[in-house]
Amino acid sequence: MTDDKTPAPPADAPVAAPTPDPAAVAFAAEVERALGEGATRDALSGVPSWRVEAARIVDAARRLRDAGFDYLLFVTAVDRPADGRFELVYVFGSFADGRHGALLADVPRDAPEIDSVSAVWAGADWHERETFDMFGIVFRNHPFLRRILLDEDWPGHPLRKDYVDTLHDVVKRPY
Amino acid sequence: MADDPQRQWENQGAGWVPGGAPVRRGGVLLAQVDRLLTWARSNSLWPLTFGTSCCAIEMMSAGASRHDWSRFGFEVARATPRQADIIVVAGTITFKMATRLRLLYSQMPEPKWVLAMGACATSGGPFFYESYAVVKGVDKVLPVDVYLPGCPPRPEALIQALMKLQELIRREGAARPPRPLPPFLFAHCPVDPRKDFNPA
Amino acid sequence: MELLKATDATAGTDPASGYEDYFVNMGPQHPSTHGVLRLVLKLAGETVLGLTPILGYVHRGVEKMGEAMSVVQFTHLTDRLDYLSAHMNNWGWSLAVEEALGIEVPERAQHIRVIMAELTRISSHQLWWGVLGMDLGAFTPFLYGFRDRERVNDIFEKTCGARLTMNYIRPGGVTADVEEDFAKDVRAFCDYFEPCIDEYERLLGGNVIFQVRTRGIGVLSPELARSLGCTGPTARASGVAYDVRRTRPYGIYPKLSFRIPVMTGGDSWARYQVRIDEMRESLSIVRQALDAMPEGPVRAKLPAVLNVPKGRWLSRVEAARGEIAFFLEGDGTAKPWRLKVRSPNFSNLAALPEIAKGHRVADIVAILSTLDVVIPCIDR
Repeated sequence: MTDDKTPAPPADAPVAAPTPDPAAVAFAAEVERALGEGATRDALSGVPSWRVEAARIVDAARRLRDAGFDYLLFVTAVDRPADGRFELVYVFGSFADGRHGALLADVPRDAPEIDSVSAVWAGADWHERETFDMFGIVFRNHPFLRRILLDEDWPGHPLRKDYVDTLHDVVKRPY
Repeated sequence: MADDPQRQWENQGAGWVPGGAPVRRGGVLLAQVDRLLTWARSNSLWPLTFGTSCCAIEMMSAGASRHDWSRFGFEVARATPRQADIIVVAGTITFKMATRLRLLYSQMPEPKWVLAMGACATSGGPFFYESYAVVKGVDKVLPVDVYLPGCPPRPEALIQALMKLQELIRREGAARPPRPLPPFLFAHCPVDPRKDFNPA
Repeated sequence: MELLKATDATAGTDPASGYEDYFVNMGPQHPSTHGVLRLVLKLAGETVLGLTPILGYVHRGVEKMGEAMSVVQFTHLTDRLDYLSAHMNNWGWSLAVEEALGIEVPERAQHIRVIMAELTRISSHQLWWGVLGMDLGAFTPFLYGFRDRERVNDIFEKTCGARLTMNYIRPGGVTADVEEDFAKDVRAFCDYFEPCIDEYERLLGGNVIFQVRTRGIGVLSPELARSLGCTGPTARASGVAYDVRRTRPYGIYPKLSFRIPVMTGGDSWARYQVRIDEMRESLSIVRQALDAMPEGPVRAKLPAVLNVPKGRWLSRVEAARGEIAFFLEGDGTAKPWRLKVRSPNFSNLAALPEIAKGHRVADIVAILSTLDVVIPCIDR
């Protein structure tokens, strides 16, 4: 791993401010035009993300699909216990090109419910079942909301940050 | 904790002493019959096709033409447990699968053997730490005869493990008692362990 | 039993024929389900009226485990997702980490990555072809496929040390430089294997029984494929011309010239044909990458502890079965806050209930084999 041929990174190189990529700017404009008002751009770096109200999620999803984003990569959630919410992440893209973005929606941790978008993108069916299985988020109007990866009678939802498993002999990593 | 039935089971061992003399009763004639039976059994072990993850690919490679396990008699891999002698547990066993695995094992007729292939089946493998859904070793579910470490073990290693099992069969003798299922003491399992088919 | 009844509450007696619907379980232990997958079939005689896959028999909680280990430690678990595209999974995860931390990968490592990934694609398709033959009742393709696959395994073993779960492509580059006779071995394999693909086509594809069992079976329409998010050869056989290597290229793919095989039939025969053509294209890519490989370091210099900055990153890679995507969210510490693996097989399998309707039980095996799913990738 320590390779003598590898040059060490220059320690004092000034970090230039990144110039905005015109393709990314055009993509952001297209998404915002599709979503309309009510979608705020999320500040975290990396995947371009827009936050919408949980109540408007199906409408936002339909607008995106009609604007040409017919590819739903996945639906998942991120647990934020410090803010008391689950942040649902819907990553969408298009089969025609390689751009992708994320649609975010917040639901409160003690009553996590949101409408299902499986009527818009059929693939959301199984992804939402998995999110329900792992986090306990209930998707209203889902055709068949059952656990998909764990046993039907599994206690708890494992990907929550406060999930403690006393039944299944979990060994914590010592390092 | 020493009287914890799970620990008692684990301390029991396989029931035979490596290098020790086999227990054979009955004189010269029955000893020859015994040798014939164990020779026949060890050279025609039919495995059950059971693979859950990556080790299954190395098991398939062991059955393919370069490593060819059929030279040793494991030619006929049966899909139904009713016709299988040995179950090669190749891959990770989760709690969801463990109960179904016990059912499969119970459906196999005696005499039957279990080979735990790979690190996952031996002890949980790379999923030992932090995984909530993996059984840490298939010996918590089935009585294992041979453990084979590796992630995944090479096909040659699998064949060596099967050869060790053949040695074990010859050494144990034909009148080997069936091994009881270990107590599967994890709460929340759809199958009641009290209803396991345990030989008396 | 509740789940069985709940999957289709409309089970009843067909008034026309007098046949009663019944439910049959296929799996989780079954020779043709490619792993531990349980299919609950609702049958009327031999015809499938409905199908429900039940997953999770090898769910190991990899996403939760990832939250407790460093990003470099997680690489060994990505091998074990879809173990037949091990290098591509490693590459996808490394791309996510490299994007998050701004790591620049040396040129030689990029070439090695492409060669390893395409050899994995060939090896995965060889296994798929062999197992497809075996599932449909022909044992010879299994032996041919594995015999040729062993050659690729030998190449991997010399350089990476392992045959199946290699853990070779890591964030920053690759673990170690290739062996001296790597180029010779790879060229010898490519020259050996090219006529073998024609032999494969004659052996299995030319067989009339195989053609009858795959033509018109399990037709996946492009609208359903798009809506479900099917990718990879499954979608390309339905006319969806989507390949991450062309649509959103990574590594040195922009510099390589290769075709993307696309068919419009959408049936099992089309899926079969797409994968056979892909093997040819992969050989061409391997040759190009090998010819252009420069000298140089194979791994970027990395700090001892990689702290994932706050933010969310997504990397998308074309695995052998479709698009695998890694979503990484960091919170400034060495351990990720959340990581999600978008599995291609998960979305591809979602098509099965719809496309198996109306076919016979034996056709399900043909469809599942040509969908080419690997269950640990679905269950993670």
